[in-house]
Amino acid sequence: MDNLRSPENRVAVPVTRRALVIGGGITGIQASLDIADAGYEVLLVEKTPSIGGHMLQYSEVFPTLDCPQCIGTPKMVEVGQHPNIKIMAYSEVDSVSGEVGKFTVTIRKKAKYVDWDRCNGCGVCQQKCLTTVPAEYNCGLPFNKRKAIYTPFAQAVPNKPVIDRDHCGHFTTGICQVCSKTCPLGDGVIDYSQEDTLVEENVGAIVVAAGFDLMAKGAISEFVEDPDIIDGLEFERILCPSGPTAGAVMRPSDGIEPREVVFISCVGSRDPELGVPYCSRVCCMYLAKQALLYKHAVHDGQAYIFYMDQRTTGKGYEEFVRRAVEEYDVMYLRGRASKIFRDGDRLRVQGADTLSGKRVDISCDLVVLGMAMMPSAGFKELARKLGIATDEYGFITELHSKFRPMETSIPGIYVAGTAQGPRDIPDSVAMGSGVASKVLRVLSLEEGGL
Amino acid sequence: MISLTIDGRRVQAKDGATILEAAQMFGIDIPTLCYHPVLTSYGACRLCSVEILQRGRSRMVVSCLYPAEEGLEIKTSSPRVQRLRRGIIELLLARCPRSERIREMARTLGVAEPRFGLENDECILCGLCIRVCHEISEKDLLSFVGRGFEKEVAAPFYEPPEECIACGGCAYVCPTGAIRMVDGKPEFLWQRKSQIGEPGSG
Repeated sequence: MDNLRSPENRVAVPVTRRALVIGGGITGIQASLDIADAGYEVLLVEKTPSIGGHMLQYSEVFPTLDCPQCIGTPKMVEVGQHPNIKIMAYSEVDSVSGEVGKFTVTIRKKAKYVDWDRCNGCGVCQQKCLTTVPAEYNCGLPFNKRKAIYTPFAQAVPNKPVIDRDHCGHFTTGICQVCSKTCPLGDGVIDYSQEDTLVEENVGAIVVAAGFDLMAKGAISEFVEDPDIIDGLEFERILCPSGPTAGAVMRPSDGIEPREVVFISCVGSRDPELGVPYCSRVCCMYLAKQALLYKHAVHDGQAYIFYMDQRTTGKGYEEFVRRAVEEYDVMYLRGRASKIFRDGDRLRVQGADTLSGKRVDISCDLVVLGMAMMPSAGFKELARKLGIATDEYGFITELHSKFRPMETSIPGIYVAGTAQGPRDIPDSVAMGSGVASKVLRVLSLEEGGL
Repeated sequence: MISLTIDGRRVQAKDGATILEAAQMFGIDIPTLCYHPVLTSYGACRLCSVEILQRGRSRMVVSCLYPAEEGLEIKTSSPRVQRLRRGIIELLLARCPRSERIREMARTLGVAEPRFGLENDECILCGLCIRVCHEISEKDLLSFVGRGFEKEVAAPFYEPPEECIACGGCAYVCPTGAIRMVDGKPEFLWQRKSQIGEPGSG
């Protein structure tokens, strides 16, 4: 019987036994470790100067309130030291060609203006630099700045700096050479003449773990733009003990500790009219967590959470939210907020409490918006380069929503983590391992096995 | 955390912050010339002076040096502050009328023509270059020399400093352009003056 699977119909395809992982967040880190531990080489491409992703920016993670830096940095170091993993930080995929087993990928290594082969990460250049810039890692909050030559955070892997040429005094004025001249390793380690370089790499399989970004606050026009109306990630940085306020709850407009904070769920999510129709899955949990952490810091503060439902699907999640309600007096109001505006040095939130049937008008000091989770910026462009299908929001479309959640429309290219859809850390990490198994199937096949 | 009031606005500053740092963090504008966020503050230009109210009395302090204190009430733009600022910038404008930075600041403060005779001394003795050479390159090649009218910035013996590592920091921070990079090395005001036949003195 002439069967496509019978030996005569097989074609021998040579397999490059290397994997490319795009995205150095927690999902990409997990996938890289699993593939590398199985004995195969991994190229981990990350667009920011350090791996770690959004998880490293959080204050404490639910429901255990673990410190994400404490649990995440050992994984980052493991990746950095793994003999089978090559990190290409501050790099992006430029183009892809080929097919499963033999992809050719061109990667753009963006100019760092620092020779990372010789830099030893001493940090002197960062201390000496005379140009200060708002820190993207801290969402531009006013509480601290970074330098023009910088590592995004102290535990960066690789712990080597890049120069932000848009702000660096050397590139803007042609005068300053402080970093280059004060570098203890001498001239040449910092090299202003560096340019982007393109490198070509051959890999057998590709993992897309490019992560997420939050929807912009301005997308919902009912809520005016105000320094004290912040999103979840900004509040994480404020609450974070290693963040710009050392964990002191300070609001952006004047640094005052808020006595009353209003959290609003589903901003942009579940909103076909103004935002996206889907649920972002993690906000119920992290807003409860942030309310709880706020109460840890401000014992006599009051937290309010406007909600529609409580989506607490993980282990210990429902119990965690119960704790927020019962132990920390977080006031949950079932309803939506219709308007937020400034009233002197306070903010007013007007909404509804559907369980009592009343309109609510809360005067508070800080508003935290649970913004919708979107695929990370620039993602659609990446998907186009890879030739994989995405849905209308930019999330990768999986081959089968139940049975093939990690396979894309192109064999050999797989997806994991929030790049495929909103999910929390445990599910992202699980998917990182899951996608590794898909990759290992390709890489471990004998010649002619595909 | 230190709670203070600036122009009627209550703000909370981090421990150890100066009034200027607290103001700048929250978007309150105080003009400066000799201040730099990376270098230690010196209080030379006095432009950042503000009026503080303490125990019913008001006095002027330099915000770049004065520490934020609990309960301090600060006015950054009172008539007294504005008069002082305008006075300072008028004098500086007369000293270096060609500096773009000084002219812009004069414009912002509403000072047009200085009442004084115009000079052409580009250095306003802010000390930023000295602090850069001390704190950044750590070479200590520059210092204030002389007193009073004759005070100026120079290297030992008015000689071009051999140990200079050409980091460019002094030229980069100089607010008036008195220091310029020429062929990769800094060129100082005293060198230009001596070139036109005035050995050192202003």
